[in-house]
Amino acid sequence: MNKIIKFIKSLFFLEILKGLKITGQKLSKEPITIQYPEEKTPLSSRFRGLHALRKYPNGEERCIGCKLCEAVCPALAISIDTEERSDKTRRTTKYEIDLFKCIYCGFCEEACPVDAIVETGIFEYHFERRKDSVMNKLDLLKIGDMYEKEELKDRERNKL
Amino acid sequence: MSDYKNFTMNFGPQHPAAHGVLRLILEMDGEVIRSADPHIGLLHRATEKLAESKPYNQNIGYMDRLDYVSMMCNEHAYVLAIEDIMKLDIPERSKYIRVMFDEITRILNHLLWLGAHALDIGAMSVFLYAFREREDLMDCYEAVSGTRMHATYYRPGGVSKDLPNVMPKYMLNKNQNLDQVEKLNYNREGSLLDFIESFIDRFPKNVDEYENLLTDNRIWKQRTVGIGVVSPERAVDLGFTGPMLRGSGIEWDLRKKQPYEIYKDLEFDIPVGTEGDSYDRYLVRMQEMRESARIIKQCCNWLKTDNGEYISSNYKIAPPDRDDMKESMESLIHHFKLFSEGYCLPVGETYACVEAPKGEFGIYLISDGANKPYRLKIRAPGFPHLASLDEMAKGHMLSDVVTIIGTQDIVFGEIDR
Amino acid sequence: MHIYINDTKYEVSENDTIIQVADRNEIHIPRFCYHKRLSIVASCRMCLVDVEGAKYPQPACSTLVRDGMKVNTTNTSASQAQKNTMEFLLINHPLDCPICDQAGECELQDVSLEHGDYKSAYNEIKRTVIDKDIGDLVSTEMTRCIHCSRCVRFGEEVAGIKELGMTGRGEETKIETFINQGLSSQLSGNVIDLCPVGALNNSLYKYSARTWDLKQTSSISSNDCLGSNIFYHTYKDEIKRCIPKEDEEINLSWLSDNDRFGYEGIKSDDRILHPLIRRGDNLEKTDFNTISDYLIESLKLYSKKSCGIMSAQSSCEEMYLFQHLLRENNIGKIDHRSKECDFRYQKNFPTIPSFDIKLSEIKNLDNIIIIGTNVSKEFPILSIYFREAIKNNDTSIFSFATYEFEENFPLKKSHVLNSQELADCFNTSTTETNVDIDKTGNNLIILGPAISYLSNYSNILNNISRYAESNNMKLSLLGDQANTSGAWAMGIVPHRLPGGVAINKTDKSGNYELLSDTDDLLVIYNLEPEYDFSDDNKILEKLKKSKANIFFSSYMTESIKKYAHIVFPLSTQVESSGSYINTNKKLQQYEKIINPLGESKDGADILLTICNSFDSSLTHEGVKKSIRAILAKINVNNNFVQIANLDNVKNSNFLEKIVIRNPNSSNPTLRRCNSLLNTHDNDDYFSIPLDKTVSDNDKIILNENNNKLKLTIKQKKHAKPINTVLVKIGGTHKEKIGAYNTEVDL
Repeated sequence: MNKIIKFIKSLFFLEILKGLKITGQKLSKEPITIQYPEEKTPLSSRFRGLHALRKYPNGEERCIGCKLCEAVCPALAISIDTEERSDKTRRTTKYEIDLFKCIYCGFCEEACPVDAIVETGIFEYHFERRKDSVMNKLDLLKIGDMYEKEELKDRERNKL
Repeated sequence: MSDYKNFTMNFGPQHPAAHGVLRLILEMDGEVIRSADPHIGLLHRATEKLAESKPYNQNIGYMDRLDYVSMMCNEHAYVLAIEDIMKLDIPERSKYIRVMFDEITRILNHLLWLGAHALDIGAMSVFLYAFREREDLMDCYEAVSGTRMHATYYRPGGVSKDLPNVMPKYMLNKNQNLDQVEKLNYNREGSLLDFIESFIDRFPKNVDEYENLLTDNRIWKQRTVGIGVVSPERAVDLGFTGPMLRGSGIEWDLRKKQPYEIYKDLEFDIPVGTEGDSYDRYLVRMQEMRESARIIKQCCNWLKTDNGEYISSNYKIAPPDRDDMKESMESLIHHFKLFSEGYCLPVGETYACVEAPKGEFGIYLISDGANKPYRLKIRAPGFPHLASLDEMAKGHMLSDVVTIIGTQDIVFGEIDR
Repeated sequence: MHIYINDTKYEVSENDTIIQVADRNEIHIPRFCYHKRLSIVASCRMCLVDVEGAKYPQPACSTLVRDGMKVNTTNTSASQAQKNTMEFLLINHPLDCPICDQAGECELQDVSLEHGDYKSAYNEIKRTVIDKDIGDLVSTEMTRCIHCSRCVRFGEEVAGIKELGMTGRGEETKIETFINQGLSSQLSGNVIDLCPVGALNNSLYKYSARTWDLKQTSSISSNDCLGSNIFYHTYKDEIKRCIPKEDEEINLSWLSDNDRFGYEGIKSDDRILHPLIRRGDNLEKTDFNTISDYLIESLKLYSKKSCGIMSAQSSCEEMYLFQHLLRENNIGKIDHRSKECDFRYQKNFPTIPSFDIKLSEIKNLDNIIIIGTNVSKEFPILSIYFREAIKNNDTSIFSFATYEFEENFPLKKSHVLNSQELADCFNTSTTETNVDIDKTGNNLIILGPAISYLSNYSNILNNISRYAESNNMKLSLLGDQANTSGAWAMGIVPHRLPGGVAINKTDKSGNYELLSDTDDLLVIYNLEPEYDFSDDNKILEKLKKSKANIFFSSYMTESIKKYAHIVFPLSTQVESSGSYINTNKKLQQYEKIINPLGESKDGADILLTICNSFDSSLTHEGVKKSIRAILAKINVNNNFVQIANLDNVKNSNFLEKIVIRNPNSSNPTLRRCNSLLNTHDNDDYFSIPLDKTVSDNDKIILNENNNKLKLTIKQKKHAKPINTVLVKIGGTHKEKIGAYNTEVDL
């Protein structure tokens, strides 16, 4: 008996039809694809994207050149030089991140004792020349200025 | 017929069915494989050597990049090794989080395997459907760790962050109106656990879909049944683990046989094949996805009722609370030393392994008392699997090599490491 | 006698403390105030350990062992006590780790991590202390201080100058300098190492790197003849700081400021970065081949009418090659004694002058006679040994010098004499000497480098040697540069080949003149005409008259710019490798720490390349081997220099001028260390006897050898030495100062 059923099933391509039913059903469903860049997938507040250096509300840079991020960076992507600034504070003279070396592990952000270096939600960026991949201090501070509002929002969300 | 000779053929390293950078030297007798010689090392990054030069924590990120489709499982073996040498007990909550994400990772891995395997053999739709589900799981990864793939989420002592209480949502945009966006966000209103639960609730139906498409499909069966048969004895001898071993009928699963974390408290079954061919391994993996979903469900339920610590409060190895760090000198010192020098493990050596989606992923770690490994050896499950390619492919047709590579589920990140 | 620590039995001796036994057996006990070379105060309470029978934990640093004592360093009682101490120490500590230079190597961090708690229970406002400026070398952040008092005890016990003290009580306790003074001791930098936290910091290193960035390379000091062992810490091919390398034979755990901060000058703007050749009035850039050819041609052309003067700061390798190059070209007039003017002693001088006894034996001496050196300024490390001798053996120390100064150890008697009096006072043949010591004891005479600058050096040396020999004393000769001993051994003297082999010639050494003769070719190696010669007028005159002047120099000076025909850019000591022979005849190798600046090159490399054009068999390894062989063959029993038929050159009725050179500017690199000079080289003066007057109060005009000298520096008057005008002047003086020791008119 089983053999006969099996034969009939096989004869009429039943298992193929079963599959076609599934694919056919999808015709009437809304597509799951996203029309990027108009539509975007949700982005986690913890997302680790492009780096930024933040400032205090009074405009003073947060970074104090402690070099913890440089020390903890597994990919050796961060390179910092420090000196004593004229107001006797410890500041960086060079703060560079090579985004080609960076593995976006987020350790720098975790290590920073003053919340200066952060990984923002920016994931859409490109370089046109090879050396552009090295972000210097000014670039990073600029991104920090641009992204400060989102960063504060993310911090609020992370506390929930 | 002395005009005909065996000839050799290069398969890969740029062949899409080679699953990465496998260079296969095939000795062909017409359409039939006489021998297959895999050449590896094209993705060698000296991870083991690299690890010897970095403080323990800094290597976690490199573990992700070994088997880059089962990221957190690799991290898991590494942190287990560290915890084992330290004799460190970790909070219950972090054990559940780890197990839950291990199983999410297993589904992630099997979905990719399924999609790619089916695509290799000629079934297109499954690939699309598998990636649809993967997207949700990637969102889980991103919500909890901040990245979709290379999570760097596990830490010795627990995990780096607690599960988030909110899920990121689709934003209003010019293509979609509020209704459409709300529809997309239907399962994103609650916490991550709610999101995972809603996924798990619908996932078995998705697996049914895949099975409807493939399991009885005559083409699928013709391509997989009886292909790459490995007898149980040979499977053991060849050092197979995971679905490759279970497909041959050996009931071996580290989660059951050497339970780590909280696996012994969870209910799940180990699917085992009978024939040891590619079709059986397919069936085993499909069933494993269902079992994983069962485990995730149990973890979700437990985690929802728990409010414990997600990482050990031993600040010699885990960073202190950020707010404390800014106020208390002790915390600052611990924070500073942890991120600059790291921590030192006692002298000792250990082997820690987890049941990764591909099999037994192990870390052999020797500590000489310093803040970085003296030696780190990675036991990648894919390596012995690939080594058996010659034996499995011998006598089959050229097109079956694709099936066999697919059924072995090899990833070069871990093989070349 | 034995005690038990953590249930293990250890042999101990009577006066051991628990911490000493533990340290010997590598049992770790945390501590802040205890230091093995300082006295014990038990003020930090960090080393509390559990002693069986005692009610409370006892400080391991001050508790003496008893037979059968049972100590536990790790049980609950001990670790709880340590934890509590740590919490109190951190109560007032600012949250400075991220900006503190000590972070990473901080004892406070390490002990907190190992023995402290995770979290502070203290939520009140922390104490702050306002910083004081205590000089250019040590910067302070006194809020971080934990009052271990190591720096205070160091000043009292080791450096001998109480510069830092503890004032106030309780929470008001502060470490301060007294009456707003800066640190001025030549050993002041050591408080940086001693400070277990980041309260006392290295100013030059401040904020420039992290401890984990630094690469440590060991080296040898190039600033005095003791040859202190040091570690240079470099980051990105720049020296960031310098710390002592412990050496029980030389510098113990200490370092003089010159050694510690003496690298600052290598980045000076004066550095010569390219080979230079004269074209008209200017020196222009060229390449090594051109100037090497020029040198070889000049050597051949002028041959015997040439003169080579080399700094005794050069390495043995450079010296060996230098004399080899010149002697191959029949040039015998080679010298390193650019600051001396009386060479009559040279035939009898030891092949290799030395300190004669090991530094560690100083503490067993009964009497020490120091002649002509301000030890605490010129040889700070030596002064530590003298202090130890006084403490250990109640050693009497006598000082004879040409000017008054302070020492950081008590002097039994100090004499201030002019050059003639110095010679007379040790004259055994005429009268009884006025040195009043017990001649039967274990005695030592130390002759400082400043004596050799006097014009009657031979007479003084002769008298002292005879005095020392007749009284069974030992004689030590201290050199003025790092490798003075090496210069003698390597034949950088006109009358001897390497190894002290005399050049067979009729005795003319008595009339030898270095600066007055005219030579056609002058090769000046690592010396600066303005500052490094016994008479700046004479050397400039000599440079003007000669037909070719060849300079090997790291730095550009006015006179090099004016007179040099070619200049070889020399790398400094830290940029080259080589070896020094220290005053104990110990050959010490040093390696290149950083890459040479610009095109400058290791002197040994330059000389070897030139030598190879004559003699291709020479190699660096070969030179090193010969140096070792030469040194092994030298056998010197004592430093006595006795000269027969010596005339007295001086008439004590004339007014003589003695120039006192500041040791902080004794070599070209030190002269350019601004922070060091600001701290230690700010004491230029001109001093005349009480009975003389000068017309103009702002400047002084001296007449000597038909030259008029004008000096506009601080004026002083002195009672002793009589008939002497003293000029104390640093290394970078603008005005000409004339001869170091000569007759003058006011």
